[in-house]
Amino acid sequence: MIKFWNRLSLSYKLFIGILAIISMVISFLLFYLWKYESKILIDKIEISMRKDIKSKKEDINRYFRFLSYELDFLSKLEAMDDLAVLDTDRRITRILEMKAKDLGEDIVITAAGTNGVNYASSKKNYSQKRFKFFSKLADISKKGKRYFFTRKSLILFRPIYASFNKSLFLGYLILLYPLENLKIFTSSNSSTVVKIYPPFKKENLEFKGDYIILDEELLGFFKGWHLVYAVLKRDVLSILYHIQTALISAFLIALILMTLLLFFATSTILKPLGQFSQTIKKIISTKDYSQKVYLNREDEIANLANSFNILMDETKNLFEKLKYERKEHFDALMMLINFFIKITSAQDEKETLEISNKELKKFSKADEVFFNRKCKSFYSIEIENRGFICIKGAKKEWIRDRDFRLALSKMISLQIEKIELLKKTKEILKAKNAFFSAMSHELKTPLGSILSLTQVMIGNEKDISKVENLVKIEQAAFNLLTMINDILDFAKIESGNLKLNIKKFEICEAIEEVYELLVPLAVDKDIDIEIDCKEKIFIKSDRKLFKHILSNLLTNSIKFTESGKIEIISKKRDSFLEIIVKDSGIGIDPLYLKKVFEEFYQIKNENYLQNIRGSGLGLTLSKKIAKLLNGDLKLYSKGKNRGVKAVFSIKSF
Amino acid sequence: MRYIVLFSLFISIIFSRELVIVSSSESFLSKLNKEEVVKIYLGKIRRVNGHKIIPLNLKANNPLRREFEEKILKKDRKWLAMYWLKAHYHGHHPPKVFDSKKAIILFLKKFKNAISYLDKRSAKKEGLKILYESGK
Repeated sequence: MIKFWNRLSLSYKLFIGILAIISMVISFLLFYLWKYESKILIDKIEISMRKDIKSKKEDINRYFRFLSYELDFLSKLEAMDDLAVLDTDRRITRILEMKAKDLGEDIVITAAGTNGVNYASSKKNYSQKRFKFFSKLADISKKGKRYFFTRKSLILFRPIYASFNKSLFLGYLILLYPLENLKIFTSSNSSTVVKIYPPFKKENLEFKGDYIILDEELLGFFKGWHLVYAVLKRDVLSILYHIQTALISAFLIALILMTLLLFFATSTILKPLGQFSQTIKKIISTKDYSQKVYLNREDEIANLANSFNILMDETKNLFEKLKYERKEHFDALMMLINFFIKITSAQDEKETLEISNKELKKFSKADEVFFNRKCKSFYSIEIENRGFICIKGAKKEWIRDRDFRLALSKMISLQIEKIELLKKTKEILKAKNAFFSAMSHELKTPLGSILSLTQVMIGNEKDISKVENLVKIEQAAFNLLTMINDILDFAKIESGNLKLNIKKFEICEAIEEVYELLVPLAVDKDIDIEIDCKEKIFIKSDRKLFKHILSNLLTNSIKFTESGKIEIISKKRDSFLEIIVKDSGIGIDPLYLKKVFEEFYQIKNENYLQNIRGSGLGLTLSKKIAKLLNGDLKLYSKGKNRGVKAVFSIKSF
Repeated sequence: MRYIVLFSLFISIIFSRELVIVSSSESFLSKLNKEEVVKIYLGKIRRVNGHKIIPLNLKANNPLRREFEEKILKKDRKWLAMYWLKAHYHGHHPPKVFDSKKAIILFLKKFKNAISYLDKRSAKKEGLKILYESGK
């Protein structure tokens, strides 16, 4: 719903909004009209109706009272004595005729004798005839009542007594009031109905719903009868209907006007706006900021269009400027890279500065670029601890940028530093190489002499105590030679001078050979060595280095095992071949497992190790060689006195 | 001229009929003298033997009434008008008036205690009791 609303055009939103406001106002007014105003109107009408009906009731009452009085009066006239002589002189007839004429044509007054014969009557067809309802009249008279109703009439009567003898009953004076005449009190038109209902006809079914009905009980003869006053509600509320019609017409007119307004708004406001957005879209899609909006008008929208055009001009200019600046920056960057490439080719400090000057002059299009201790009033690039490169009359903009110059300065300084560092490194390397050659020649040669001569002396000497001492010398010299060889190997690996001699060989055979070499040491210490090498596995690798590692591991195991056994297991694992050397020796604290691979590291402060010697290079060297052979070397131990498990993995070349 | 008219009228009355005072044949009255008749007609006597007497009169322009007023009452109209005006204030009414002889006769026949003047011929014809005769 909200989404739909948001998507709606502005004009429709406006339309719906105004429509909603107007309809709200109109509904409120209508609600007010029908809820309150109608009630007030009906109340007012009811009050006036009540007044009307009261007065009408009074009228009716008064009229019949008047009739009654008249009858009273007539009955007491002396002339009524003529009833005794059957109105021979027609005097009563004349009076009655006159009276009836006064009262209205339809009213009949008649004087009946004691026998019920009308001797005098206002209407000719009544006279000399027996009164139709005489027996009923006599009955009613006996009850003391002076009126009764027939189907069509109200009958009022008075007994007539002789004026000369008040106890002499002569007959009755009778007035017949046709009930039809009651309609003079009633009225009926399209909107108002006044009706009189006899008591037995009270259900006024004919007024239902649309009428305002008032009901008043009549008095006197008509006690129990009802005067009903009904007014058509629609007529009472006709003014409200008029207002409602007016409001709805107003609403419709507003609707039409708003539609026109909407049309107007769409054509005069929204269309240009649409044009606007079209242009903007075009600008976005083509990136052509030179496009403009032209509107043939001079209002706010035209102002907006003008401002927009100005903004677009500004944007265009800005973009061009940006483009230019970007190119400048790019040029500067390119220059920087070129500059860097150029100066890195320099071999020494002097050359670096020369190239820098030359390149800077070329790129900055300066009049002169030179190196000096100090620069005055020129742009300068500081070279650390040496001086400045001064740039005179630079044409390029970027030379003004301090950060840029700082970058150049760093670059040149770095290059000079690099050259110096290289120089130093070369010198160190030279010294190292010299040392190693010295080591190999100057140390190994005398040691060879010592060894061979000692062995010769051992062969010739017969004194056992002297032989023991000579063996000790020979042993020490041998150890020293091993150590020197180790160090030399290490140095070779470090400097990358170790050359691999890759050949195919059989693993078990190699293991056998190492075992043969070292088994005497184990036998001395009473240690069993078990070899688990069931199948023949060929591998392409450096046999000598392989044996070197294995002998190293085995030596370590024998060295650190006092009793028990050592197992050598070889097995394939994935593409690797694993050789596991497992002993039951003193083990290694897991804390030191990593340290044992560090150069010249030996676990110190352990009393039991004091008489064990070594260079501390063995494991380090082995690991390095293992890595050279595409393999690895790992040590595992569960702790002190729980043995060590060395896993040497190797991969075929 | 006026006298001639009056005279001729007088003559005609005298010769045409004889005035009598009558009542119903069943009336308890038997005879009345002239004085009694006058007193009854002037309302001075209202009851005889405890019975109410109702004197009847013809309407004013009736020649019989004129004759009765002249010959028996011996009072002119003016005097009579004055007399009844005074009587009215005392609650007395003049005799009952009927328009026609026929009505009087009917009334007399119906009410035994009513009396009236009539011409002798009618009285005889209707079988009424003659209470007084002017000629005698």
